[in-house]
Amino acid sequence: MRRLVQGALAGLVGLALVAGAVRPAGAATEIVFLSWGGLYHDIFRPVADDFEKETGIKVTFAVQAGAKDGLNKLMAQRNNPQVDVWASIEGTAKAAAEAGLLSELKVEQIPNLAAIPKQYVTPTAAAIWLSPRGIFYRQDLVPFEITKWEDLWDPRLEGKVGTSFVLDTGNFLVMAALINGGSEKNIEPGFEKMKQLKPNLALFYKTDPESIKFLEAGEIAVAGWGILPNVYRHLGPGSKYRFVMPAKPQFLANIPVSIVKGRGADQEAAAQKFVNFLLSKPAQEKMVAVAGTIPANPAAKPPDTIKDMIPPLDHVYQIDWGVVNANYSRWEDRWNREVQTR
Amino acid sequence: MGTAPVRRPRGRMARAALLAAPAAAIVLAFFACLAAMVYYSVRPSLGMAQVGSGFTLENYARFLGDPYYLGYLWRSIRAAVVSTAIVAVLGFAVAYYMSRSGPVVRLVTSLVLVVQFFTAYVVRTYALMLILGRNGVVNRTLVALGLIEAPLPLMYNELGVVIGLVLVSIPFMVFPVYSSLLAIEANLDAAAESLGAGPLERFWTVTVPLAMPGVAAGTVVVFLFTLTAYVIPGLLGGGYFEMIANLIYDKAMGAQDYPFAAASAMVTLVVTATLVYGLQRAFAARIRGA
Repeated sequence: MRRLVQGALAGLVGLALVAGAVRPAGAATEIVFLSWGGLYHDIFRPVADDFEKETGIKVTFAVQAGAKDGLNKLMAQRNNPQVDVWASIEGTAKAAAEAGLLSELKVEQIPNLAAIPKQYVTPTAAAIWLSPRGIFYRQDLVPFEITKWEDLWDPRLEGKVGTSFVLDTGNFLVMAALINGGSEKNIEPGFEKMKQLKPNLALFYKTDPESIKFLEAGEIAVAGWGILPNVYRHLGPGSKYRFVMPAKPQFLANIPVSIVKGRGADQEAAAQKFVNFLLSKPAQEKMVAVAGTIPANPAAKPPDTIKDMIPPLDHVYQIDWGVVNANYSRWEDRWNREVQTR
Repeated sequence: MGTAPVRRPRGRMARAALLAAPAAAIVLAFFACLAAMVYYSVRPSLGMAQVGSGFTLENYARFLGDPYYLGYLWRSIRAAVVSTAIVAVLGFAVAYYMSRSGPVVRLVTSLVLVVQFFTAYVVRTYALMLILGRNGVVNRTLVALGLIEAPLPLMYNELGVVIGLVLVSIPFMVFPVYSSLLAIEANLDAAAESLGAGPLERFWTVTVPLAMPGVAAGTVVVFLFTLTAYVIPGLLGGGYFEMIANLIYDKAMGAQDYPFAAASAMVTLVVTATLVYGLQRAFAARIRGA
């Protein structure tokens, strides 16, 4: 028995050694980029290939189910990080920065940072593009043209609307608060407004692929919270789908990239080169052409196809993510008790 | 030649040790994960991926002291009990039918169940959505036949979730029961018949008790599977009927409140283990009694 245990332990040590031996060496000829899968690979892959041609640094993709999943992964790896560059969303990037997971971005190493408007840059995150949020709906199932957030409360949409609390970290609730005289700092009007929406609500989704499936099946006619790059492929001439970015308030998510701390100087230098590359005009134009988003670098042009969907961006609401992150869990429970119930 | 008897046991020992290593790794990984969950569950929760220092039972108190959170656990147990009971009856019927049929029916039924079993879980759930939805096959047919005027609410409620759970978990019941039924010697039935037992009595006093090991195995698996369901309540519940796995996921992945999610998971684990232990004891008594 003792030999059996000794043998088992020896086997385990052997397995651990083998696992250690196959770990890739930490040379700066390769960086790991954590982003979303599917469509986002189509957006990032061509740019990563261009980067490799220019610098010789290979970009390996790691996949997150959502930005928060990415944050969970980074938290789990914090003593032995496996990711160099991370694409996320603003509120999650802020939470990661507060957890001390991200390196500071400096213009000396990332010259293209200087081109990005200040409101889209934090000490640890730089926006690569701006992603319009709005209403995504089926024109064949909605008897009028939706133009504003308040249209979701129209009695003609009784039982036809789907929405989400978790998608974009409670932003739909913040929108409801804003159109009812509140904000994330005064959320009560948001809950009041949401209760008024209940007759129109058919179901709640957690991801936008889910919302698209529900729309395709005709289970809902309107996805009350849609993310343009994720529905972009469904739009176009002759499409039964329509995306509208209501003019007031406008929700324009800032999609940032960050550099993960603790990977060593060589890796960090390569990561800085990649971030700089992502912020350059050619890379920006290449990415937004596929994503259907607005480039963060003003020198780059957005794709012509989205011009009709984007109103003048003069009422973009700047969310206080600190307030949202601090209250998220409590709001979610209250939403489930008061809104997500019949 | 003289060394062979000595070397053989060593070789066996080495092989056993080699085989034991992966098993030890799995057991260690399992307990390491469990230990991490216990550790997180007693840490102070600061929200959004932040965990405080020190230890507390606050997360447990929050879960156990709020009927809202306990409601998730209660709904899960209720849905699992109802689904498992329905699956036990339907699964037994299918298995019985298969055991009494010819090779072609057995093969076709097995194929249907296996294909269903191996179809991606999410795809199966979306397929159910297309059948049960407001705009689904069932409702459209009933409306077309003039039997109903407005679509029936077959989804986005407990009914939809239970239908979904039943349909996807049937193979877990059919196969173990089918194996038990095949193992019953045919002459036992004939013996009971020769002693004057009618078909119903034979079924109830011979077939059912002898198939009980299969029913027990199927019941435990289906109960665990349905109690911890995530995708089905997530999609077919439409947000109106969420189960405990949905709460744990939302708290861990959305609110990133790891300590509370871990405490919720630990309470669920203890409740589930207790219920399964009770189930197994009940089945063991039934099987011994038979």
